[in-house]
Amino acid sequence: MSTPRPLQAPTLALARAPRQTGFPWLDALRGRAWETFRRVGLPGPRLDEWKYADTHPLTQAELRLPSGEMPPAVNAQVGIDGIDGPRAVFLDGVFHPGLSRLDELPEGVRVRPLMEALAEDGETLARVYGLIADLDGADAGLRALDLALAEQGAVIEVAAGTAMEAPLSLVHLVSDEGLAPQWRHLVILGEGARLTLVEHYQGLGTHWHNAVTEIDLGARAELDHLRLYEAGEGGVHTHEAWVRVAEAGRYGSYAATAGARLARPYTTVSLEAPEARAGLYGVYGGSGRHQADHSTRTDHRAPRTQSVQLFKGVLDAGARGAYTGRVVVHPGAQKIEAEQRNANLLLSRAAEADARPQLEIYADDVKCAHGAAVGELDRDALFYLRARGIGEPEARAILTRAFVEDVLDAFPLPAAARWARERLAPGDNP
Amino acid sequence: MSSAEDPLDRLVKSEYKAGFVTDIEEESLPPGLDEDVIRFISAKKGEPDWLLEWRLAAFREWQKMTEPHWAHVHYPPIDYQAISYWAAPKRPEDRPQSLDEVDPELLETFEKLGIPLHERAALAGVAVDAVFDSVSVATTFKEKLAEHGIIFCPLSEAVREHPELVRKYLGKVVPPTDNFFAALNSAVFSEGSFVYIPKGVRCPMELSTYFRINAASTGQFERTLIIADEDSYVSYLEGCTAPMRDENQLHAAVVELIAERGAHIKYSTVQNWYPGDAEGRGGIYNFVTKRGLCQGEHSKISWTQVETGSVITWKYPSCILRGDHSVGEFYSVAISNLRQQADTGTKMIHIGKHTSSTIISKGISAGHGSNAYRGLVKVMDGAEGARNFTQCDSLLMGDTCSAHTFPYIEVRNPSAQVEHEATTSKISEDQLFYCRTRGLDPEEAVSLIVNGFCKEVINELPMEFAVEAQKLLGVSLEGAVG
Amino acid sequence: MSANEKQPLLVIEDLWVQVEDKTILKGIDLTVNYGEVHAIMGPNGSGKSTLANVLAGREGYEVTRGKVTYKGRDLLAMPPEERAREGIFLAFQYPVEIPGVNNIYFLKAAVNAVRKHRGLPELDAMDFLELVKEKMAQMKVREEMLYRAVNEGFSGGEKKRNEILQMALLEPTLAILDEIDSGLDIDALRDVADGVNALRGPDRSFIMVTHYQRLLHYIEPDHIHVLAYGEVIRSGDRTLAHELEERGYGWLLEEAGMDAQGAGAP
Repeated sequence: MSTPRPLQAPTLALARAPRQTGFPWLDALRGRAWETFRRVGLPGPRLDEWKYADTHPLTQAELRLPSGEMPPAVNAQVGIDGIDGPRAVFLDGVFHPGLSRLDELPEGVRVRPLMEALAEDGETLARVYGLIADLDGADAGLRALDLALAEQGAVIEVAAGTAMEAPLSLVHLVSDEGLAPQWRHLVILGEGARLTLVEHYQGLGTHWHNAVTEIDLGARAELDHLRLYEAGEGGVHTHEAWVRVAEAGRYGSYAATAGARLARPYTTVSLEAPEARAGLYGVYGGSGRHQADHSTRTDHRAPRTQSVQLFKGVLDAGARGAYTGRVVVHPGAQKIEAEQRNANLLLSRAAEADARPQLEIYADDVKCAHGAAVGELDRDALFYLRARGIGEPEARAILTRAFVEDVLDAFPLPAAARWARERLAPGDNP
Repeated sequence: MSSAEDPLDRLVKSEYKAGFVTDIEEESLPPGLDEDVIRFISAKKGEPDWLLEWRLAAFREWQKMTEPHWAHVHYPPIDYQAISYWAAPKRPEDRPQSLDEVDPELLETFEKLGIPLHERAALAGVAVDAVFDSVSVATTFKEKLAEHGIIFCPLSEAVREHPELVRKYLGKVVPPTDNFFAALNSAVFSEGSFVYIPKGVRCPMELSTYFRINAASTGQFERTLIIADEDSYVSYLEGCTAPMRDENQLHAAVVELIAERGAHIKYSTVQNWYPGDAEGRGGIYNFVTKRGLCQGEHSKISWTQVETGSVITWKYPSCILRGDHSVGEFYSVAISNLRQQADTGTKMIHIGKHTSSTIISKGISAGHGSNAYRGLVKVMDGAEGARNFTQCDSLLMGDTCSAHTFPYIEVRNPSAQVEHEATTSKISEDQLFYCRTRGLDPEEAVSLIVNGFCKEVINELPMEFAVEAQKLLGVSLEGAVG
Repeated sequence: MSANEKQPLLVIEDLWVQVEDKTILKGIDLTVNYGEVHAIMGPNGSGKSTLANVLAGREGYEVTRGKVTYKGRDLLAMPPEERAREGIFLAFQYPVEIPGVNNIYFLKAAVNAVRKHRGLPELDAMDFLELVKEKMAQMKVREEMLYRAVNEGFSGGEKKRNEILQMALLEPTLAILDEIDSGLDIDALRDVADGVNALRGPDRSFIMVTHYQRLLHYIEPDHIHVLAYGEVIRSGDRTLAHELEERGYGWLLEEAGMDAQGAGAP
């Protein structure tokens, strides 16, 4: 039994009831979410789902919602080298048309700021918006808060049969101390549509990105979804992706967290019809007080669905990395395949790795396997490299890079893999 | 194939063979739990004041605690006031002075269970303590063991005869307030076995305790304490049965093991409490806390369990690896058939340097059974060079059962190596067919495949138990694949 | 005539080595001059591989007595990579598999680390590829092996060829071949031997550790040392190999006052 927890300092700063938007359906939804948040409060280690995440930074820092006013452009690099293509840029919590590039979208692809889309197409969007990420469960606090307050984000629609080749980026940059933007994105792919979506979260100083991305994939639709997080020790990034996949659809998730006081990407995929597939990949690393907590939940609700989850962590002094994965095979979901792998490399003392690869199986004709390992660099391999004249620091770097390479190999954009590699295991390409 | 020939089905429908009730005169307390009940139990056992106070303190803590519900099991609320906390075969005088004085009906009960208490008939090399409801009825081979300085007796006797040992170790590994069920046990425990192996002694025979719940509406709360002093060795076996009854009965035991430097304790369990019927009526709630402390360097504790009974099992035999180079092992087979639910596993806490642990867990689900492995491997920051290997495999038979795996791995030392592997499979048509083309009938084929699946665990059991366990696997699963 | 002739390349004096409290080598003396090929032979468990590993600097081997001088310097004080850069090359008996690191990247990193140490310019990708292809042709190594992870999924023969390829690329002064013949069929053995022979020269020395005489038909040594229970019980020229071939190790053990269990050894 979880007892409701009183709202704490930062929440109080955020804790004003959602303002009225003027759309009754939306106000009702936001109201319900607000009630849920009031009831369950912020998550914390008392919840099994949050066992390995230290949420103190959320309760101790002074945080505030963005004012909603357009900030001046910042003097920081926006986006990631080598990832071109259309993008929507959000600066200090507000959509920034000047930095965005959305004018040359191919036919069949629509990208609109959240409130604009909800205003224009409320009737249609009300059937999905806020409904894929449910508000059940004692751990619903953050997504409820997000749904209640979010007014920034993007609604992305790709029409049936449309394949967009260039990656589409959503760039979120916070440069103002103490900001806590609440993001909400909605991605809808029609039958057979294809898209590569990059979400990039950056921040300077103390800040909190709280984001939810809801994704609805039609039959045979394919989405590659990259999420890249970078922050210093003052940043907290919590992000939930809720995905449902129709028949023969494919969802690929590629999450990389480097640094951050707490980075917690959570991905939950529902494979709702036969032959739907999911590949969930993640890498995390850090040192000092960095904390990464990657979680996934995959629901196999139909026969012949497949999932792969592969997560690796490289943890240096003081860092803590965790992976929690749950694969649920529902009754009747026969002939499914699920594979879960987690490995962690501890590079020094005072680093901690936690792993919970979990299986919950209610069907008998299934192929499920999972594995987890924690260890240091292979001493024999290290010696082999040194015996060939490679110095110890470089030998360590080579092996560290090799360790994450199979995950980064799965990343669909080489520039994103490079970005992650540089942050997790600096050095030349192996 | 028609259902009548379906081996899985037959397995599911097989009878529980230890389900008879012994018609024996018993005295028991009316249901209910308060401090007076605890005083009654303590007085009945002739306990010293310190132990009564210890019980009462546990009881007061228990009243403040709430029953845990994190396990993957579901059952209606337990009314702790509807349970009787004391039942014993009625006897005019004190305890029997020799087996000749034991009620013949009782002896027969244990004979029926295949546990001969009569020393002449006893299995060669197995000393037995038999616990019937709340009291120990016989302990065999005591004198022979005493020649080696080994103490093997009911816990209540140890409290009287060896108070210094009991007082020193009782509750040291499982503190009275460790968890809800351990607290309840600490308040009301009625019987159990006590074992002390002196320095350098290798116990010359297997020690074993058989637990039997007979009386209706009774809970069983035994408490076992085993201390292996430096460089000693003991192999201890535990077996459990209960009659078929329509109501659920609570079994909340505590087992504490302490291995000093160089000592090795091997603890084996064949748990065959009544599993309830196919509709989930009746059966034992088996909520047990078992924990071993590898106190000294190079000490070793091995848990082996074959869990075929109980309607609900909640049990995590664990090892605290404190001594450098100490070793913890957990080998488990758990079967959930009928409406059985098992949430079982282990905890390996690595504290000392170069400690190592091995976990081999085999879960078999059939019928409407639910089987969960839940295990924690924790490597503390001082546990230089710690090693763990975990393998947990699930076998599913039929599409109405379920299998779950919930490992928790927490590592704080970079030189540690921790590996966890798990697989889920079913008995395939191909395997069955292959066996049958070689002349096996479907039941033999299932039994063969299941025994193969469990082999690594069964091999860990002492010989006498291995045979019993293999038979039990067959019986528990009679009828399970089509 | 070079400075090479003034001092021996490697001098091992009274070397005692322990592994986990067990003494494996008990007072080894061995001198290797430039251009010489030495074979270290002996029954299983005699300490041959221990000697190879100690010379390459593997962890876990504790030198309790004695010293090893290489090019006039204290070899035991050098970390493994420095030994490699100074020209010591160990061909491993069991080359380790390194998933995720591709072979060509690994070879280039090693070659450039050694070149840099020797004051030579590092090779760029193009030059390196040219070099490695030339050597691969000599060693009969298939090109696709370059793009696989180091030793991962290689057959026994492929692993050994890969070791010799590395040797050809790193141009060592002292190559130590640890059971380079084990697990090879006759063709692979001949190729590996050809590779080694091609590298023989006045400025390069070899120590071959082997259990079998077979290898010595393909790579003729200048000196042979028989190691048993951690001691050199006999040294000789290549004629000793023929004697061993005919008579086995037993007679030597007997002469040394050891029985097959090593009892009688100090």
